[in-house]
Amino acid sequence: MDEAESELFRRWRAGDRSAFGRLFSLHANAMYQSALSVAGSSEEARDVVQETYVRLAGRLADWRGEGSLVAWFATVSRRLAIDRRRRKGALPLPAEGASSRDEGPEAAAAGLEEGEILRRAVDALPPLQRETVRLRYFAGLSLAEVAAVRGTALGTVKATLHQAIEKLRREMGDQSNG
Amino acid sequence: MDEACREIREDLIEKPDGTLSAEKERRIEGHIERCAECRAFAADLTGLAGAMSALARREEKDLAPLAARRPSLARRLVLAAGILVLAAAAFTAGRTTAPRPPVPEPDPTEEPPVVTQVVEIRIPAGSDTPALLAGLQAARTALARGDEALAGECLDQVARVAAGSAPEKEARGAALLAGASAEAAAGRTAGARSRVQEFRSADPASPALGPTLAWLAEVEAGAGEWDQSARHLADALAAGVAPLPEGTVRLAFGGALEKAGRVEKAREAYLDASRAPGAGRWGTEARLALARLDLGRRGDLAEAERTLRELEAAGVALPPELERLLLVLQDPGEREALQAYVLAQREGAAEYYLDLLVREHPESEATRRLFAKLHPIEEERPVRARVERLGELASRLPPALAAYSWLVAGDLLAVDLEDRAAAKIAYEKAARLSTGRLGRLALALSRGEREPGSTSAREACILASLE
Repeated sequence: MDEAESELFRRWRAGDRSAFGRLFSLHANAMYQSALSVAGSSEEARDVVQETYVRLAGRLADWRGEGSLVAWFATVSRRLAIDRRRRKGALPLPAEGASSRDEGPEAAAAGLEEGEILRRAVDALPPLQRETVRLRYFAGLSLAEVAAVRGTALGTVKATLHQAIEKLRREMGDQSNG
Repeated sequence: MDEACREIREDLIEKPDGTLSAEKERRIEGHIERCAECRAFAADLTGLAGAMSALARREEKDLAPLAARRPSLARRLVLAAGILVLAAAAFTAGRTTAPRPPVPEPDPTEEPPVVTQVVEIRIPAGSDTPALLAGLQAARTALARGDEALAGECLDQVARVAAGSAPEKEARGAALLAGASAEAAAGRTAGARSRVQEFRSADPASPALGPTLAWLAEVEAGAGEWDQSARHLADALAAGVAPLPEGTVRLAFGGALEKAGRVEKAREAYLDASRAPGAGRWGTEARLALARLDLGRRGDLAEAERTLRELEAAGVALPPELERLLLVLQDPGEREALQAYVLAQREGAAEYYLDLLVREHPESEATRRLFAKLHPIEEERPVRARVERLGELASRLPPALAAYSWLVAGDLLAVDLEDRAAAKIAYEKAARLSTGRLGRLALALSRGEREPGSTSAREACILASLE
């Protein structure tokens, strides 16, 4: 926790609700990315972030003070996203944007800017890799935080990311060569 | 790629965290100099990380409205306070002869400093009603950005303006009410209560008293002070709440009583709300609240179903979870499971009913929820830790419940961690502990004949929203 975050946390603990609002805004992207890595759509991920706010507000006492706050927020968001998917009976999870796969690589690439191609490549990764990539590079979490959110070992996170990056390199290389 | 390259690449992924040892950093540098393929990997990694971070920033912009959308308790309080400040502003209405300029709404996409400027420019000391409205709007805008402290300051300003622009008696009333708003916005419920009490003593016949007490009750409800909230709602109803619709206040009264644990009184209040003259939409809301109360705290599934069927017959569109509840109740097995669940809630004999549910309805969502309630496995824990906790619980519980623990652990392993091999072991343990329906289910899961975590009962998943 950096100094500003510690100060907000201290104020939240002292009952200052606006401090929670700021902490929440500070980590909204991490929660969104964490939810999106599991949720079926960005709209659903946004709803999960809303739900996370409600869930977290007033539950300060639940935080054990272990690890980072952002990892806790992201963990709650991820769990809520999983619960939603489960309630819908929608597991295994579909890849968001996977429809581009059906269009064929040429059609999918035509008219897409590089960023969009990358996003689709990320969305097309296997669920575990996609989630780990989203937490690390989109949510900006450290490897230790990703490990905490996923409930897995640091080494596993590194290995998963390595596999994902290799896949993305191949995918992006194919796109630029094609 | 050999083992050394793989290790270097994984360390390259960790490098930005600054957690690598100096020795590892040196090893990476040396290796990169020698190995062209890892050099290319490092360059690609940097490019990909940058591009993904840029994509995230773009997505983050889409998140900006979330702060405005979030259902913040404090936001509700200040919006409620806003209504009160408007009531306060009404004291000064008609006192000014100056033409009232239109009050433009601040652009909610502006940066926070602009909000501060709006407050400074639009609320000079001693200005009139439009300034009060501008102050209120500025408070709302500040709040939409999550700056509740600034919103509180805005309302303080409004209080000062109100006090300075009306004749003495009205000014005192307005100042007390606006002061109460500011106290509430700052989260000081006792302060708000004390100012409202002062207002009440100063002018017990004021037509604003009823709505003001109703507002105070909402503030108290926001702070979880349900007894106080119920008392002030009763006072508000006695004083007359016009222009607020009576049905909504009665409905809130029922809610406060329910939260305060006065279940039968709450039921009466909901019934009154549903019968209030011109109840309309609030009447329907009251009937829905009644059904939820019967289902939850009273454990009367039949009564809840009767109310819901009546609403359905009257053409009321039920909330999805209640609509699903009616569907689920058509399944005799699920009906039985739900009945056991609600009885467990009402009779305080949850262990007995859980045992029954585990034996008879191992797949039901009701079973899962009751188990989670009696043996909480905190959702925020990492999944591995939850699985370990379930294993530890299994060693202490009677066989049927232990089997159930392993079944839940198996689902977590299969669905959340995608570790089918470990899930199979957990399901097998469950199968060995139970020879009944639960055992057969676990066996089917261990053999891959059933998909983990996707039973039809779970799809129903209605109970979460009913509690």
